[in-house]
Amino acid sequence: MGASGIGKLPRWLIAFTAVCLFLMHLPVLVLIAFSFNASKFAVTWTGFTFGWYRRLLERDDILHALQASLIVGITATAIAVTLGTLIALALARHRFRGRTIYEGMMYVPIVTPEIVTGISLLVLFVFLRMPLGLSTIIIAHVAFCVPFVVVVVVARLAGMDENLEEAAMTLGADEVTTFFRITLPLLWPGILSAALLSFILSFDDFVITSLVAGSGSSTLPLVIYSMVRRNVEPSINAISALIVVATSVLLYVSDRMSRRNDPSHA
Amino acid sequence: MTRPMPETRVGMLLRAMAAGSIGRREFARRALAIGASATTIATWLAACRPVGDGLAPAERTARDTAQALEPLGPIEHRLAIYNWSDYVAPDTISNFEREFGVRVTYDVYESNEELLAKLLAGARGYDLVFPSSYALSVLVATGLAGPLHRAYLTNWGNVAPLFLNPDFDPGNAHSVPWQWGITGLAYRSDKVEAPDSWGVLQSRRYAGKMTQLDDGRDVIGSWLRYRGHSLNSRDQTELAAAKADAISAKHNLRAYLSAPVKGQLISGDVWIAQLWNGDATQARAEQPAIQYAIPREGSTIWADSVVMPRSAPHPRAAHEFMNYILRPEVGAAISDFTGYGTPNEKALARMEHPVPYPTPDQLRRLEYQIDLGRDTAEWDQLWTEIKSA
Repeated sequence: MGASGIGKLPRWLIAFTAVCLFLMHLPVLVLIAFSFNASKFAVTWTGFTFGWYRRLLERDDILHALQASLIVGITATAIAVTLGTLIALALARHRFRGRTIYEGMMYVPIVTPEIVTGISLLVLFVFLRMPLGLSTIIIAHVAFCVPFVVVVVVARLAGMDENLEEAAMTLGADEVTTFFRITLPLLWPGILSAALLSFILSFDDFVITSLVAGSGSSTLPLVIYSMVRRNVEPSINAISALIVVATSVLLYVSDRMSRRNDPSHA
Repeated sequence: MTRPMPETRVGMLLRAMAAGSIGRREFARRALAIGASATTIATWLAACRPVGDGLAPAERTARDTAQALEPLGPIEHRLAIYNWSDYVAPDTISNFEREFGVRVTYDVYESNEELLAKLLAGARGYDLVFPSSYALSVLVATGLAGPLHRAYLTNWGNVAPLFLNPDFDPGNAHSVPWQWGITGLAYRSDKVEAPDSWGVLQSRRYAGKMTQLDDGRDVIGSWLRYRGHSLNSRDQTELAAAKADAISAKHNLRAYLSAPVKGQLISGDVWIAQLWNGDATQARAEQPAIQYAIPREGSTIWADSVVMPRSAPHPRAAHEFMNYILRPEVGAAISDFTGYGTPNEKALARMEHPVPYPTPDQLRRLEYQIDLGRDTAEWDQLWTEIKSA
């Protein structure tokens, strides 16, 4: 039994996995390849150029949108992760009246179609006479990121040994010390995953953002969609390629960090 | 034994998103969510709450006529533009900012429906928006379009008479013509003969080498014209015939494809494509064999306009901008960049690649799309049936 284990995968399985991975990543590879294409239309290859990357630097609209997306993504993630972690702790560690209803309601935003959420938020903001802009986008993003954070952190909490916290308290640590010395470090990989997930959800959201954005707050997806409608210029490929590279680096780093912190991988 | 960690699953999800596999499915889903339902959002919102000022059309006209003569204040320091992406020349905005000392924000939307949904819901803060004809008629009908103060538009005389006093905004009380174009057939003159009828899409001869636009109004409209009807028809029998024609042509089509078809025309994968003349001009720059024809049964002429919403916070700056784009050299630069036609007669003469105005003979065969109102849902249904046939 033990001898048949890891490291001796059948060849066909390796080949199958390789083909799957290749097909999964092919569109991205094509996209990156065409960001170096001299032609304005991404179908025929007419020569190699860095021109579209240089053009990016001249496109103030794209750079502004990138800046807006980063501001929204980072702020919304910070708020959503804080709120979501606290909610997850309450749900997983405490028994209170209406807990099941509360938990159920947490999942409603996940299954609600985005267009419905977007329209409701727009009508709400207009009703409250809030000027549309970065702040309304951030509020909307927090609203749809929190449930995802809760799901991820609750799952992490479920796999955590509660005895460790009890042991710390038995040994004289108060609740606050226990939280910062025991619970939070153990929870960290979950929080990090939740943060990455909500950042990416926020960074590429289109439907909700398009409805709650106001003057001076176009995010990157809004600009890209609008460009696609008129004309797909390869500078879109260039910015997408940069995003793919940045995301890959981010994922690699976070993977390394969570491995180091996660005792089950040690 | 370690249980499978939830992080691993999330990690897989994240990786899949980063790789684009989930992103694309999401893309399709979202496109569907927007494309399929957004047309109805506007109607839905309009039904949800009373939009606009609730005035009768005559009362509104009287009020607007009076307001249009009132003086505006001094020029404000800011201007909020809400437009399609890449729909001004690269230096249009920066030159305006420098000359007038106004800081401009340029935000973008992706469809007329998105614009309508926001304005109908009551979103404020935009000084200038750029709707197509049918969306403009909605803004005028709901009183959301502000009156034009003609006294500040000293360059108004540059607009060609052809584009003045359109049905969707009588007397140009609310709008300045912006860009215009025609939907027709782009074709590869080295592969096929010039198509002179929509019927070419039904012949097996070029099966698999032809496309139509991915837009119900354009596809159904073309088959209505094919049988000699208006492309705004609401007649059941006419629409049923258009549906049958569209489906019989669909078997020969490679796909329903909009702007991205330019690449396939250039590469020779597509020989005949229903397309906008501006896009055909752009594609010809890379492949000289691409030509353009208006089918003899007729087709769509479209025009986008500049409109100041009634809630605009910077009306004087908005008017200065409208007057600025009516200058011949500014208008020429914009249309040279977008590849579409300019309604500015003086600008036409200065363009590097002028798009000529339709001849009177062509004009008789061209028709504007108008808002279908309550029949929009029926057209949506028809388009879904055609696509899934």
